[in-house]
Amino acid sequence: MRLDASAGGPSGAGLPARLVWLCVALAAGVAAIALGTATWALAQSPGPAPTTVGLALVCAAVASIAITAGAAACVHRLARAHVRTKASASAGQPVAGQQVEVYVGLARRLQGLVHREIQLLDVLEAQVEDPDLLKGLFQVDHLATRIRRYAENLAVVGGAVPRRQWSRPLPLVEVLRSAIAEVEQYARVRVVPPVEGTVRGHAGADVVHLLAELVENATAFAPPHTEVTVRARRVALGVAVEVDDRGLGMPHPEQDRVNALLADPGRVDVGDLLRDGRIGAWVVSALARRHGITVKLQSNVYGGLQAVVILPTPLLGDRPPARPPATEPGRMPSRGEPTGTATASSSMAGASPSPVGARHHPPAPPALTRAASPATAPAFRDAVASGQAPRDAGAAGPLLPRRTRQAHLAAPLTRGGPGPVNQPAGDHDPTLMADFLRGASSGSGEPPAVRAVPRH
Amino acid sequence: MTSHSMHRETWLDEAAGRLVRPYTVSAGRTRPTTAMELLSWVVATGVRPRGRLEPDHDVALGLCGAATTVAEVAARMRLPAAVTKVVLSDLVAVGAVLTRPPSPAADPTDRSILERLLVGLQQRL
Repeated sequence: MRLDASAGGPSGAGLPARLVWLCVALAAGVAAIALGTATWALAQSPGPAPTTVGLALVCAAVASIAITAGAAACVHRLARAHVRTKASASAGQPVAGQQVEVYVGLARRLQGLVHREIQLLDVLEAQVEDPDLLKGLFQVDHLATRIRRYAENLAVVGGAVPRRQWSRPLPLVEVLRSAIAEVEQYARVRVVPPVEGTVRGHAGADVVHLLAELVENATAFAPPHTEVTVRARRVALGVAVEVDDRGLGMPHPEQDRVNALLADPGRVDVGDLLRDGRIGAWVVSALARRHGITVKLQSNVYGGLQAVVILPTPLLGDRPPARPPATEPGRMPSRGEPTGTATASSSMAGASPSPVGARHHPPAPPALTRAASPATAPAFRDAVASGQAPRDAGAAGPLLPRRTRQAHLAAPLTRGGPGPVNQPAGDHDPTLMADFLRGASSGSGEPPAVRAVPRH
Repeated sequence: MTSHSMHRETWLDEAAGRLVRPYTVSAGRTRPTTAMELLSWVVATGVRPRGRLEPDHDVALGLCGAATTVAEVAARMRLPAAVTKVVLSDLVAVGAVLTRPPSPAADPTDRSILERLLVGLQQRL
């Protein structure tokens, strides 16, 4: 198994690089024009889709393939330029940093074009009802999505900030599905539920591309009839995403080499890796380093390879949209999740506000329960410091003592109660409904307007 | 060439586009197994399929709690109508959703309905 990209460009810089870029830009232009024509043709004719649309789509598809190949070649080229930059810097020679900047600038232009292409596709897909035509559109869409991945990777490897950003935390399940959508054989990949938790919006695109690289690798080096599974589970350090394939695995010395690159790119001779065409590992390590993500490859029980990605707690959203059910006492609850506290204190914070813990002290008002928890208060402060104050303040309410309804009831009565009224006050969640609506609306791609604008 | 600043702008939230592309929702399928029209009625039967539903199927089933139309579900899920039909037809296949042909009153070419609408609008304006 190799972590590599779908195409590797010829080595060398200068004129060939510019030629590749010229071709990519031309292809992108053709794709945009073809899609524009298709939109126009559809708008002109109210009846069944004319042949113009079909022709335009074929053009767009061919152009998209050209862009994908070109962009992949350019990622390769940029990585090489990076290595040269480092090598020449260490040898005291003039730095080739300007070249990297040129590549990043071009990558941004490509990003802009692909973004427009995808916007056009959104318009077209909403209009087309013919299954055959839509199938063609989906193929173009899939190619465009993959081009976007390469373009964004290209910019990121060159040190640029992702251009697609979200101000809200993104549900992890959507991040995983988005990553799978960027893989050629996406139909072979299955997300194993449940997937809980969120990823902070600023890192969304990078996490998607990092996972896409690993999933692509898993699908590429396992037999075509096998499935690739993606799981997510909470761990002490954050959330672990595991990508399992059922391929032939990777020899241990090879695994060690790639793991060394993933852990510390400085220690490995990247030139060797790139000469073998393993730019995927390079991209993964660049993305991981930027966000403090840990990535490790290991053999799995199927004899294949498992890629474990640890998304650290600071990268996760403040809380997952779904509340943990009371029947799972061992799981980490969401509210106590700190944004920067040590592992030990985070597990303490996790134990305190859990439904089970709260049930042992039913008369305690929520404020006291929170104050008694040694780590939730710092966690709240951390949240304030990290700019999540309005959301958390809204969720937790003012820290004043509050009268608790039915707090005098004996513990067995409250334990068996079906409704939230019988729950002890420590377990009360005023944002449960809003979270539910937010989850539902984010599943449908609508903005989470519920929390921001109360109806009353 | 376009200006330099155009290549530096970031796309936030809505401008960033949808995170999950529509083709992933239906796993690339575009042909529903049950014939449906935009104004076909769909309603949940109350039968909960065994195993876990895909996230979008879950949302679609939730939207079918009361009888609604395919177009309404598509609009709420912000998905292309064809993809919504595939998702709904999956739910029909497992018995979680029932579908009925559109009611005659919903026929957009019904002249009398359009005339009544016109009269109503003229009275209001």
